[in-house]
Amino acid sequence: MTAEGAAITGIGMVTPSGVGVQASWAGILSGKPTAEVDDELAGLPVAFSCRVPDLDACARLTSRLALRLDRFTQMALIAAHEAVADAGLNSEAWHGERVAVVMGVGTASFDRLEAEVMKLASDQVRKISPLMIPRSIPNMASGEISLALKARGPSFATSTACASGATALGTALLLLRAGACDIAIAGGAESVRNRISAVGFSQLGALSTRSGSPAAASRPFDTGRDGFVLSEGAAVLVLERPAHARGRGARTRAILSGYGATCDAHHPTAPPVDGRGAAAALRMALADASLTADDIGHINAHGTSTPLNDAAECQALQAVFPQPPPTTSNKGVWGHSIGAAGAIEAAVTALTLEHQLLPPTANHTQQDPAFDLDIVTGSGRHHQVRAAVSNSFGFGGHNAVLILTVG
Amino acid sequence: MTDINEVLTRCLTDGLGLPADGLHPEATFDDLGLDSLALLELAVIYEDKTGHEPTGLTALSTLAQATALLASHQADSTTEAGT
Repeated sequence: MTAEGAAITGIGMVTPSGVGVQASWAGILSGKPTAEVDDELAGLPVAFSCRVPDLDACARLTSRLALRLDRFTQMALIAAHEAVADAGLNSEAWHGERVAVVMGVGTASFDRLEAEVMKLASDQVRKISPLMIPRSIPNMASGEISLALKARGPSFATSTACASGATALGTALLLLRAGACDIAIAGGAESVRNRISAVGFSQLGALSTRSGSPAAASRPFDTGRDGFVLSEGAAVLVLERPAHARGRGARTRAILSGYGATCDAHHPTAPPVDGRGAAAALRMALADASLTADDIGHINAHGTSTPLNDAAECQALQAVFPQPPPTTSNKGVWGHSIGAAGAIEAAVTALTLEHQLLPPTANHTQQDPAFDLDIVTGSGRHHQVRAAVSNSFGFGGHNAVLILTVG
Repeated sequence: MTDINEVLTRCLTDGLGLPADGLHPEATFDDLGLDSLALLELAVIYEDKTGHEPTGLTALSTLAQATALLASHQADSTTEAGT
């Protein structure tokens, strides 16, 4: 029996190209990298990032929420409001017990943690904010969305590092299939543009050190790639069983048709050279969507721009696809927003199917000679595509593959 | 008309992000949308600014009552300091 897909009826996005789906889609099509020097990271070994411009949480939410919530939750709420409005849903009127919220977040939030830890270190314990914990814990993106939208069904975070957003969407698909909800609000949110994350990823050797030219730093599948670029953002999709979406006359922007999840069980942070765990997740997602490799017209790659990830991902693609279809990585433009990335890239994949237009990969000027991939560059490519893959892989060996099809 | 404690006003606007025009002496913290978690936050911000821990504030305290309570704390600690 074919497992049913989920209709994507609403999309909300917050990316380094801007707040909203329109600004984000225009930004990714422009192929213009967003990385630049980040004053908040001044003095650290890697002091550049991709920043969401004009987030203005005071105006978009309230000044109270802007002060109470860390940046990842602010972005999650803004994206959730956009997605629900885009879906034509009214959270005042819906049956909240049947609405689930699943948000992928890869780390705890370190936005304002440094200042609180400094108070601890200098014996100023009574000055530590009582909100230090509630604003930092990763489930607060889903908790605050549930609160704001009166969504009283299952609500939780998925945390599979850089795959968290894709894991959230896959898990939401499973909740819908299981009948645990009628509507799932799912995605990811994260900001690693803070001093603790920056120094942590830097010490791990995961970041590009191209400090002289930040805009050229994130170069997926390029021979000159040397690491990922710190970023932030959020994306939220509204998912419904197709009959539920049809029943209320909703527009379906694309279908989330399949999900594959595996773990490498190989190494804490490195993928196996042959990308076998990723390949297994790809095959699992194809089977789940009742499709074969030949049906896939486009790959939205994980493509972090780290030497190891891109090599292993290429191996996985070449193992599953006799000739991998046109492939793009959104991280050349937007850097790596960790737990948000998988959701943002799934949103881009849905828009790619809707517009039949493949966005370009920024900074891909010379493909690594070890690869044989058809990477989309320049100003993108008009291309007929019925089904597309969105890959996400994370520290811990987590692999999450989503398959989207035209609505 | 009772004035609202100036430091309390700053805690509510700068510290908690409430709009200044909503702060009336007869408004309760609850009216302003501040729950028990927000009151904990307010207490830490107030103590940081003044060195005094505000006690006895509840969600149903009006800003006028809070002002009177904070003034009595202040007076108590002044007396203590003087003995």
